[in-house]
Amino acid sequence: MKRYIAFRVLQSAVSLVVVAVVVFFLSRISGDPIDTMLPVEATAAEREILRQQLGLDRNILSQLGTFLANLAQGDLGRSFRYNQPVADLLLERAPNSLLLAFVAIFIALVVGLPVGIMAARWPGSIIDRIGRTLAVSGQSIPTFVVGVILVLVFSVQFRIFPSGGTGSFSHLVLPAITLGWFSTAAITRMARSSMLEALNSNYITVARAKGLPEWTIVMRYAFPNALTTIMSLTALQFVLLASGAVITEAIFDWPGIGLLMVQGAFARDYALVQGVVIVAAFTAILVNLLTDILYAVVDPRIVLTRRS
Amino acid sequence: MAAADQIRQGAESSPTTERRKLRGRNFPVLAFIFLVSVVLVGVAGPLILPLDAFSGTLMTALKRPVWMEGGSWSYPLGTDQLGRDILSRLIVGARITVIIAIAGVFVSAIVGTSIGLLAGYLGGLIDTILMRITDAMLAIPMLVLGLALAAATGAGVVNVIFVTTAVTWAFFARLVRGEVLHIRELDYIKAAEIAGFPQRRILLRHILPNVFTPLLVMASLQIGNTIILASSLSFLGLGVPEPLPEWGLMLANSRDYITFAPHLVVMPAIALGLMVLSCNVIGDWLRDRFDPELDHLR
Repeated sequence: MKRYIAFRVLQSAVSLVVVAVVVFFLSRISGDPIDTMLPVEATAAEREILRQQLGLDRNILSQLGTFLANLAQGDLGRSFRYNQPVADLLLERAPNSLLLAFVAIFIALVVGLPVGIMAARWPGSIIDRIGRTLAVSGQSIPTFVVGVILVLVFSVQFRIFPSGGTGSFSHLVLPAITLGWFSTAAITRMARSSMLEALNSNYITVARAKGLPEWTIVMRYAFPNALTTIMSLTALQFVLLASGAVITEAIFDWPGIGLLMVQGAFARDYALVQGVVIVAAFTAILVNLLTDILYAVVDPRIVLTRRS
Repeated sequence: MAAADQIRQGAESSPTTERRKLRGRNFPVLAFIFLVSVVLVGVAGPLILPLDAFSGTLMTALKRPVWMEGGSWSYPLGTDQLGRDILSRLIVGARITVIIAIAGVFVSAIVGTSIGLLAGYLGGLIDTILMRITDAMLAIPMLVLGLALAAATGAGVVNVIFVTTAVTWAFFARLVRGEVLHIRELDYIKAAEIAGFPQRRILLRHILPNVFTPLLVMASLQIGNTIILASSLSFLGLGVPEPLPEWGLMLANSRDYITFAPHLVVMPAIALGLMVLSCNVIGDWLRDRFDPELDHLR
């Protein structure tokens, strides 16, 4: 167990560094930051001065070194649009994004778990069909289409929820459903398939033979076994939310990191955009790591299969 | 690979399994008919355009579709805020979507396959470096990476293709590398090596053909992904530029008129939804047909 965890931690540390290096080179390949920071009429001398100030005249490897060293200290550079450290901006917006993400996952669980469990209990039933439709639509309808249609129905036609902004609980409803749409589909699917697998095991047959009530069989016998899979999937959904969050926050003017990134992308605020990319990737890697460790703790079989 | 990744792959295989059950017998046929008509309409575009997709007059602005009150057959799906015929715009949009989807996936497959082939066949340090980079690319959420790259390249059809390639090649690289690792252990490759064939020939003539089937399946599965990515970028204003009627862009531009002209929003939304759904259904069907064991592809 300890060896497995140590191995995964080391692996993740390597991934963090590689991601940082890749992002660094991507941002260098994709354009000269000087061009976007100075007006077109700037003279060559002015460009040179800014280049020196930013350290862009130095050897690329030494720039990379500085970049990594700063990153290690939590310094993501400075946003020139806001004239603030990127890390501060992100920290300021993070609570909004996290709130939205948690509510989205909550909705996905509240809808997805019961539908998935019932679909597995009664395959082919109406509820199973609803679940499948949900799963298909979740994957095939782009997030922004979901968001705009929700606005059309609930803000424009029925005027139940506001179409954007923050302030009250009702502002949270539409963005959270939009963001949770994809995850709801994923969790429904996963709950159904893992419950089906559990319900088809021999120990369930034994439980039935003992004449236990159906509800006990499903919830006390099958569900805990399906739960580990569902748990780790939920954690991974949290990572996958990042892409949807960018779109959702842009549609609903939700002042989170996603909206910050879209605005930064328009303003060509590279330090800001790069900061979001790094934070998103780091979060993904860390959540993956934590999920793996948690999974190994909950289900020792994982470690055994890893080793062999 | 980490346990969580295996779970994720499991999770990502099940949507397709679900769809397979859902679609019944007619689903792939319907999807195929829809896709073929979209492609035909996209190719034949200018020949069958009822009206000009790029210009209109304010006199004819915001007309409703024919089945709604005030609609007429001269503009079957109505007109937008600038009086441009929506049906014509959807048709031109189909062409743009088809071009981006095909070109994006094609280039991405070529880049990813080359990297996967090299990593899998050469092994050692090159494999480690290439696969670490691949993993790093896969760790960054797709749209976050796409948006960052789009911010650097700016809007444009070619730029969108570049961005979707940059974001999705890693899927192909990982797939191909895995297949190559398996194939290169087979006897006929060993025989070819002993016979003294040059590496290039072994890679291209002996290994590559055997990677084609999973590659084709992966490519078809990535089409839906690419369309979503490209239209999301256009929706945010960093993909296909104005005045091109890309569906995501049409949707974004019509949001201001959502209160009194909801059909402006609904039409591109339906087009996009059906398009992605059809691509996914066809992708699954291809996978089932040619490579049922590749359930992990996604």
